[in-house]
Amino acid sequence: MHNSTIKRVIMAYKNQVLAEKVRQTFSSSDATTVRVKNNNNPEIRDYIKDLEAAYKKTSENSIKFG
Amino acid sequence: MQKYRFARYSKGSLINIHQLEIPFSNYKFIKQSPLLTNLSSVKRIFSQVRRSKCKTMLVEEITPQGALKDEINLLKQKFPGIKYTASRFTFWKTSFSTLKEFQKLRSSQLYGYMIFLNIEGEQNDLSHVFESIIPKYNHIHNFIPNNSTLKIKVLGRKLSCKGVMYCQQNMETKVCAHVALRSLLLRIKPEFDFYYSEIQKASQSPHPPSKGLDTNAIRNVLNHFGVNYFDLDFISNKLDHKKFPFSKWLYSGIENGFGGLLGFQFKGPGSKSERHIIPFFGHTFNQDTWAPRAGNAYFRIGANTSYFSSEDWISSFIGHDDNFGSNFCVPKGFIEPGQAKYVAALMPDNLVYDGIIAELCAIDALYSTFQNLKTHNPNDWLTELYSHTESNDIVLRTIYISNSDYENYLKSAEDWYGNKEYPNLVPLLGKVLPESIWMVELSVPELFSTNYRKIGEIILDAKTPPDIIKKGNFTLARFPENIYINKGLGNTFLHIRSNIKAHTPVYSESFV
Repeated sequence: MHNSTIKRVIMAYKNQVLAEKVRQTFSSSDATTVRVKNNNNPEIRDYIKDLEAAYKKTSENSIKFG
Repeated sequence: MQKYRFARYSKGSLINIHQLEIPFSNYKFIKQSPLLTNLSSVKRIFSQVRRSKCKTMLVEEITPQGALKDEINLLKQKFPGIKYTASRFTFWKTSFSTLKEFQKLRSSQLYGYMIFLNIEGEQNDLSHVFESIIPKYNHIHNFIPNNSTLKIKVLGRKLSCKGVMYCQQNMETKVCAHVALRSLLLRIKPEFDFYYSEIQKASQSPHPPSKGLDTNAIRNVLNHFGVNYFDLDFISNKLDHKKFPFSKWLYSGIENGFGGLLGFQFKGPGSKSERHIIPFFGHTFNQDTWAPRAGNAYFRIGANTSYFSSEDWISSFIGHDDNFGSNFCVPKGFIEPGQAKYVAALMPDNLVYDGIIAELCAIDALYSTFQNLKTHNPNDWLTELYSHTESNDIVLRTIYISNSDYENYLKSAEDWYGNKEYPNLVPLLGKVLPESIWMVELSVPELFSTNYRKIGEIILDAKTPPDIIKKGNFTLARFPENIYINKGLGNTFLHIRSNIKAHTPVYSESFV
């Protein structure tokens, strides 16, 4: 399985677990559900993509210190 | 690696007890002592001791063990027949002159220590401060997050010292990269002594230690010792300094208690292309600095998205420069962006993303999602926050903490009117929160910097991969009077009323 697919599966599972925890913990308390339009900022999404690419763990022509 | 076999536990025999008050002269002592060499690093340590008004110095000759013994073996391999003296200097806040008095002293009276390795004869240039711990300058604006203590032995007595270990290179068996790594590794895994032979072996460098370590070798060392980190190699990966300012990564490592490494190139005519690397572990925070308001300090994600980071109020980073000594404040702007060649932020284990990405996830949630909730259950301070959001005039401070740290914070934090969170709500929130969290504190410039207060925070699961679309790592947002818990879909939240109605203090170790 591709790494991003594995990540999505893990996340879906964690979301389900979180939703269940929330339901169990707050079912009897004074809580209401709020739905909100969930926009995304494309500039932030692009920045994260660039940053993840910058975190390369091996450098060609690595430079020395000392 | 052998646990608990430390150089600082080396067996010592008393040489002398010196009274440090006038007329004792540090410079004269350094010049005349057969145990020391006239190095800037030694003068820096003694000057810090003088400033702290230490009254007594106890000097022992020591039989090397741990990393010190390893160092001597390395030197002997390279320079057979080398002669040396190893000595430990401890500095005390209390006046004493006899061993009987010494036996009654406690750790609180111990200021710091230094182990000096003095090489005799032709190789005298190899003499250096093997290690020392001197506390940071006790100034209200100087911070060292996770400023822990290390145990040392003095004449067989186990005592403790607070501070970050300083180590010096000798240009033969270790250089700046080795000593910088040892300083930070000792913070993360204090149960080990980190021998230089092990650091060099772990680096997998094909070159001798005197040739330095490259960025791949530095990563090999961190990986070998199981240290989590996020790093940027500006040269090899041709990174844009404007887009990825090194200071953000350095600050992230420092603020989260593990520290960071900065590799840079010297500048100016005649500097050739020499490079140096330094460990950083603290910062100064200037509440009144003009810089963030001057306009250049916004962290620009793109043409329309920016925010302030608490890092914008940092004037200097606190670190050790092995050439000159311990606990220097290096002004943030002194190292120009083009000079920075490598930065690594060291992080706690098991984090799957760093503080910068946490901040980005939080700012996305604030700008894109919560902005749409501004008419839902309004509150004066929430309205203030949203009005700043519209002009990108928000301050974020990102800290990695545990679930229980957050619970403790919520239990004790009081808003401006003295309100605390509903006591029965805090343990319930604890049940929902993941074990390891990124807490992104939300504030506005004047409130944050001048009064150290915030309007709310966004809590992210530090162990779930970030996803700004589905917000899988997003857990909770706390604002005055309102708490929103992600129901796992990123657009549906459970809303709970909070008893905190206004701004609260920013998080600090005192809440733990």
